[in-house]
Amino acid sequence: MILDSKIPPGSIENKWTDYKFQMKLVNPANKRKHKIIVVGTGLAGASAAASLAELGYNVHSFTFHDSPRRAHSIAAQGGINAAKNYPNDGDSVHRLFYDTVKGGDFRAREANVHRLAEISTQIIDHCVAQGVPFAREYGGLLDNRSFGGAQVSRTFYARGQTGQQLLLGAYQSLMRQVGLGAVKLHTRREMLDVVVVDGQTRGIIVRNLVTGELERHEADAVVLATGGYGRVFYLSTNAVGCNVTATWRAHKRGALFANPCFTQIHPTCIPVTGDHQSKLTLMSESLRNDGRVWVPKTAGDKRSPEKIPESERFYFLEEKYPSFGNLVPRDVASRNAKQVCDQGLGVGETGLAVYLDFSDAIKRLGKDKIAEKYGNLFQMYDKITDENPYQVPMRIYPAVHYTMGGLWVDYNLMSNLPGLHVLGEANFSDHGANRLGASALMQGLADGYFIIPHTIGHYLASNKIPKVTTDHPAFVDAENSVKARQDKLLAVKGNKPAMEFHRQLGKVMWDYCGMARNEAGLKIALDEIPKIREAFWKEVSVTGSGQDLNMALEEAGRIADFLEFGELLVLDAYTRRESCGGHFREESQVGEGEALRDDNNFCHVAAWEFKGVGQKSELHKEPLAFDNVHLTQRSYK
Amino acid sequence: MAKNPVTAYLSSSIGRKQIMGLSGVYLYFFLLVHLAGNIGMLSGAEHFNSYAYLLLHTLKEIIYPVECTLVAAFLLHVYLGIKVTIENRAARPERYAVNASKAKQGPYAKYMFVSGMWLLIFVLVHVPHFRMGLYSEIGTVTYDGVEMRDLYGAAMHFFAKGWFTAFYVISFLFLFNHLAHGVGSSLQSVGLNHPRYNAAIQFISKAYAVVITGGFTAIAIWAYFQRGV
Amino acid sequence: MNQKLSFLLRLWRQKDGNSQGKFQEIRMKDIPPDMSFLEMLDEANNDLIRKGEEPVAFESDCREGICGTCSLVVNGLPHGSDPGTTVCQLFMRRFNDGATITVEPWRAKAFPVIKDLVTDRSAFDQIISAGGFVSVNTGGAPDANATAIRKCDADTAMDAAACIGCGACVAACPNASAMLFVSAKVSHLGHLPQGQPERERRVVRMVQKMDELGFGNCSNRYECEAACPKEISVEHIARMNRDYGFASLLGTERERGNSGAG
Ligand SMILES: Cc1cc2nc3c(=O)[nH]c(=O)nc-3n(C[C@H](O)[C@H](O)[C@H](O)COP(=O)(O)OP(=O)(O)OC[C@H]3O[C@@H](n4cnc5c(N)ncnc54)[C@H](O)[C@@H]3O)c2cc1C
Ligand code: FES
Repeated sequence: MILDSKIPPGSIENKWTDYKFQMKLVNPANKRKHKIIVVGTGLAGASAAASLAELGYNVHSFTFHDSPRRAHSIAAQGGINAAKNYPNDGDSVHRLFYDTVKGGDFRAREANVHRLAEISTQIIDHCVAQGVPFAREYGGLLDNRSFGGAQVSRTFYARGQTGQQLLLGAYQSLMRQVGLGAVKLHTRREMLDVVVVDGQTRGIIVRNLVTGELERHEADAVVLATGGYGRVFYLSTNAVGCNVTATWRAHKRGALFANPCFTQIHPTCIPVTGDHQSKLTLMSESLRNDGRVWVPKTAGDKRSPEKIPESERFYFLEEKYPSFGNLVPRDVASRNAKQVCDQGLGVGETGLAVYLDFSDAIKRLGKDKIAEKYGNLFQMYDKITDENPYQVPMRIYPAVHYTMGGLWVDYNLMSNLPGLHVLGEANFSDHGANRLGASALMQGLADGYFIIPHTIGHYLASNKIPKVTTDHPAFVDAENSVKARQDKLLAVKGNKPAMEFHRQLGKVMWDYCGMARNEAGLKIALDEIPKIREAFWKEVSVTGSGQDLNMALEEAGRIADFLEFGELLVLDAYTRRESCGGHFREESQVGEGEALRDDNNFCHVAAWEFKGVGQKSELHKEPLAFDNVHLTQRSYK
Repeated sequence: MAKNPVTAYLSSSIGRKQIMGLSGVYLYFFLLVHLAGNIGMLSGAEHFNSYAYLLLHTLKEIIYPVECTLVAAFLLHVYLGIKVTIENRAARPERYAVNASKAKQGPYAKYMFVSGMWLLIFVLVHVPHFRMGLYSEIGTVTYDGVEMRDLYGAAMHFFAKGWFTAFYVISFLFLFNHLAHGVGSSLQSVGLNHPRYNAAIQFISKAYAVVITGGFTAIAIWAYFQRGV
Repeated sequence: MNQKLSFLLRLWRQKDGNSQGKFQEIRMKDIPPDMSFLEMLDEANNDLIRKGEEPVAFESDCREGICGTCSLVVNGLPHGSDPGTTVCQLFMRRFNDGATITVEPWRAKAFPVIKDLVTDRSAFDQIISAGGFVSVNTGGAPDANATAIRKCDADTAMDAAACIGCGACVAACPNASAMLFVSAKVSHLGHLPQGQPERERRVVRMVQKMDELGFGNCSNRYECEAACPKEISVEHIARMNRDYGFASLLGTERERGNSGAG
C-alpha cells in the first residue's frame, strides 16, 4: 500500500493558502443535500460539527456522553498556543512551527505543522468572538503564560480551565446549530462500527445506550473525533470514559493506525497512592512557570521538605537544562523525574515522586497572585492529597496523559478509507513523537474549525457518492458483527469484573511500555497481553442484558478493544528501535539519558494495517522529509 | 408564534416572582404607615380615633383608591404565592430520603408558604373586624361634636382578651418570618444584589422586619396590659 | 491515616424511569481513607458483579470535578457535604468510620431517572440551545485584541462561566429551579462585549425555555449556591432577574418568537 500524504506542492508558507484555492467547492445550494456524520463532541468534534452546519451541511453529531459538553476536552487545564506575538517576545508562525516540529522530535509532517501554526492565531480570534473569557491584563488585553518547549509566552488561558472554556465555546456554537435545526444531535450513542460501501465510508453503527438498540446511520462522509487512547494504560489523567473503541473499530475495517507507541507521559501529576485508584490527576504544566522541581541531594533523606536547606536540594531540571530550566518539554521532564527516582532520590511514601515547590514564587509574587493564577489547581491538589500546596511543596510524578498516535490521515485529514476523516487526538496528528503543552487544544480546534470545513467539501465535490440506504448489506453486516460481539460478551458469564483485566493490562503496559522501553520488556508485554485477552474472554462477567442502560456492558466492550489495541501499541514500540520524544528505547540513548533518534532507519510514520486479532499487523511506512527544519539532535540545555 | 413580550413576562417564572416581590414591597410601605398610625394608640383614645377619622372621612377620596390597590396587591401576592408553590411542588415530585440543607440562610425561607397562609387567615380576620366592623359592632364616640367610630375602644376591648392578643402575637411571629426572608428575597427577585451594598441591604431588610413586627407586637401587648387601667 | 474504614451504603436502585425505586443496602469493609467516593462505589459494583448481580448504574467521567457528569446526592446533599466539591472529588476520609451513607439520584421532574442513579439532564442542553451562545460563524472574527475588556468583567464572566452543568443547583433547590445554571450563562455572556448584541434576546429565550421544561420557580432559598461545586454566586440570578425584566418590559428587540434559536 502506498501512503499518499497528499501534501500540496509549493513553499511551506504558501501550501495551505494555495491549496485552499485549488480545492473544489460544494455549491451552497447543494450543501444541505450532503449528510455528514461527526462522531465525538470534544473540541475537534464540536467545532467541526458547528462549522460544517454553519456552512449548510446536514450534520449529525454523536457522542456517548449525555451531553456534548462532557467530552474529555473539558478537562484541559493549562492553555492553548497561538503565534500571536502579543507579548512582543519574538514569536511568529515560523517559530511556533519550528518549536512544534522540534518538540515532536522530528516525527511529524512539516506541512501539517506549519498549517497548524498559521491557523493558531485565527483560533484565538474566533474563540474570543464566541465569548471565551480568556485571562486579561488590567489594560483589557489578553494575557499569556509560558509552556514547556518554548522560550516565548504564547499560551492563552482561562484560569486553570482553558479546555472547559474552549469546549463550552464550541459546544455553544454546536447547540446553536442544533436549535436552528442544522445539526441533529444524538447523545448517549456509542459508535461501534463504521460501514464501508464500495470502498467509501458511508455510515456508522451506534448503540443507543439507554434502550440498547443498535442503530444504523448513513451519510456521505464520516468524521471521527473520538479522542485519545491513553486509558489503555488503565491509570492516566484521562477521563474514565476515554477509549479506543471508535478508532479501533475503524482500524478493523481497514483504516491504518499510525504511531500507536507515541504516548505522552506528563511530568506533573499527583502520584499514585494505592491500587484502588481509578485515575490520576494532572497538575497543569503551567505550574512549571512558577513551581521549581527538586529532590533531596542524598538518597533516603526523609526530612520534611522545609527542613532541607537550599544547598542540599537538587533542582535537577534547572541544573541540567539551564536555558529551558523547569520548562523543558514533557518527555524530558518526565524522564528526568523517573531517573532521579530510580536513583533513590524520590520523595513521599512510595519514593515515586518529586517536589514541585512554589515557596519562592509565593515569596516573590505573594499568595494572592499565585492563587489567582493556579487557585483551582491548588484546591484540587488539596482535596485529593489533603495537603495544602501553599504551605508544603506539591509532590508530583509522571503519568500517562496524551496519545500522539492515532488513525493515519493525509493532509486533508482523511484516513486511507475514503470518506473517513479523523480529527483531534484521534488522528496521528501533528505532534510527532511528543506533543508540546497547550498544542492539543490548538490542533483539535484547527482541525475542526478551520481545516475540515474546507477539505471535506473538496472530498464531496470531487467524488461521486451514490445514494445508499441503511438496508444495504454492508450495514446489515456491520450491525450483525456488533451484535455478535455484544452477545459474546454477555455469554461469557465468568465471575470477574472487566475492570480487573483492565488493571492487569494497564500494569503490563506501564511496566514494559511506559516511560522507558526495552526489547526484553516489550517482548514480555507482547507475550502477556494475548494471555490477559484470552483470560478476559473466558472469565469476564458482564451482567444484565443488552436491552437497556448497561454500563458494565459498555465498559467491557471498551476494555475488550483495549486488549486488542494494546498489543499493537507494544508491537509498534518494539518495532521502532530508536528513541524519539515520548518513545524512549533504553537501547538508544546518548549522554545522560537523552533520547537518541535513528533518522536513517526510522524517519517515518509507522502506519499499521489490521490483519486479524492475534495476527501480526502489517507495517506501512510514510517517509518524513524535513526541508525547512534541520534534522538535529534535540537540545534544551 | 411570536408572543407579546409583556404577556410573556407576566406568565414567566421570573416575571411572576418580580410581581410578587413588587407587590410585597408595596405592602412593606403599607405596614410602615400602618405601624406609624397605630403607635398613635399610645397617646390615647381621642388622638387615635381622630386619626382614624381623618383617614377614613376627611381623606377618603385618597384613601379608598389606595385601599383598593392594597387589596389588589395583596390578592395578587397571595394568588401568585399559591400558584408558584403548587408549581414548585410539581417540579420536585419525589423528595429525598435524607433531608438536609447546606444553605447559609436562616430557617425563614423554608416557612414562607406556611407563614403566608397564616397571614392570609389573619388578614381575613383582622380587616373585616377592625376595618369593616363585620364581626362585632364598633361603637361611636363624639369629640368636639364630631361623631366617629371608637376604634380605640374596640381595640382595647378585644386586646383585653388573652386569646385575642395571643392570636395577634403569633401572627406577628409569622409576619416576622415572612418579612425576614421576604424583604431580602423580593429585592433579589427584582435584581437588587450588588456586592458593595449587599451587607447594607441585608441589614436594612432584617432591621425592617424587626421594627415592624416588634412595633406591632409591642402595641398588642401594651394594649393587653391596659385592661385593668 | 492508614486505618481502614467500613460503611453501610444505601444505594438507590430503580430499573427505569417508569418503575418504582428502592434502596439496596451494601456493607463496605476495608476502605482506605484516601479512596475516592466513586472508587468505593466501583468496588461495591465489582463485588456485585462477582456475585452475578447487576452493578449500580451511576455516571462519572473526568473524576476531577470539571466535566459535570457525576451526580449523586450523598446523605441528602448533592455532591455531599463538602463545599465547592463534586462527588468525584470527595474522599472517604471525610466520612466517619461505620457511617451509613445514603446515595440518591438528582430528583427533579425535569431530570427524569433513567436507571438507578443516572438521570437525564438534557434539559440543560435545550436551554443552551435556546440562546446560550454568541451567534458568530467560524471565520471572519476580528483580532482577539481588537476589543479591550476590563479585567474585572473578564473575571466575573469567568466566575460565571465556571459552571460545569452538573445540575446540582436543580437537585439542591427545593423547587428544582434551574435559575443558577441559566443565570450563570446569561451572566457569563452578558459581562462581555461579544455578548451584548444578543443580550435581550438571549435572556428572554433561555428563561422561556427553562419555564417550558418543568423546572420550578426560584424562591431565593440559595441552596443552589451552597451546593454548587464551583461556588457560583446567586448574584448572577439577581442580574438575570434584572436583565429579564428590562428585556421583557423595556427591551427594543422586536420579535420574540419561540421558534428555535437564532
Ligand atoms: C487532564 C488533561 C489536561 C489537558 N490539558 C491540556 C492543555 O492545557 N492544553 C492542551 O492543548 N491540551 C491539553 N490536554 C489534551 C487535550 O485536552 C486533548 O487532547 C483534547 O482535548 C482532545 O480533544 P478531542 O476533541 O480530540 O477529543 P475528546 O475531547 O476526548 O472528545 C472525544 C469525544 O468523542 C466521543 N466518543 C469517543 N468514543 C466514542 C464512541 N465510540 N462513540 C461515540 N462517541 C465517542 C466522546 O463522547 C467525546 O465527545 C489535556 C488532557 C488532559 C487529559
Ligand atoms: S466526574 Fe467529572 S465532575 Fe465528577
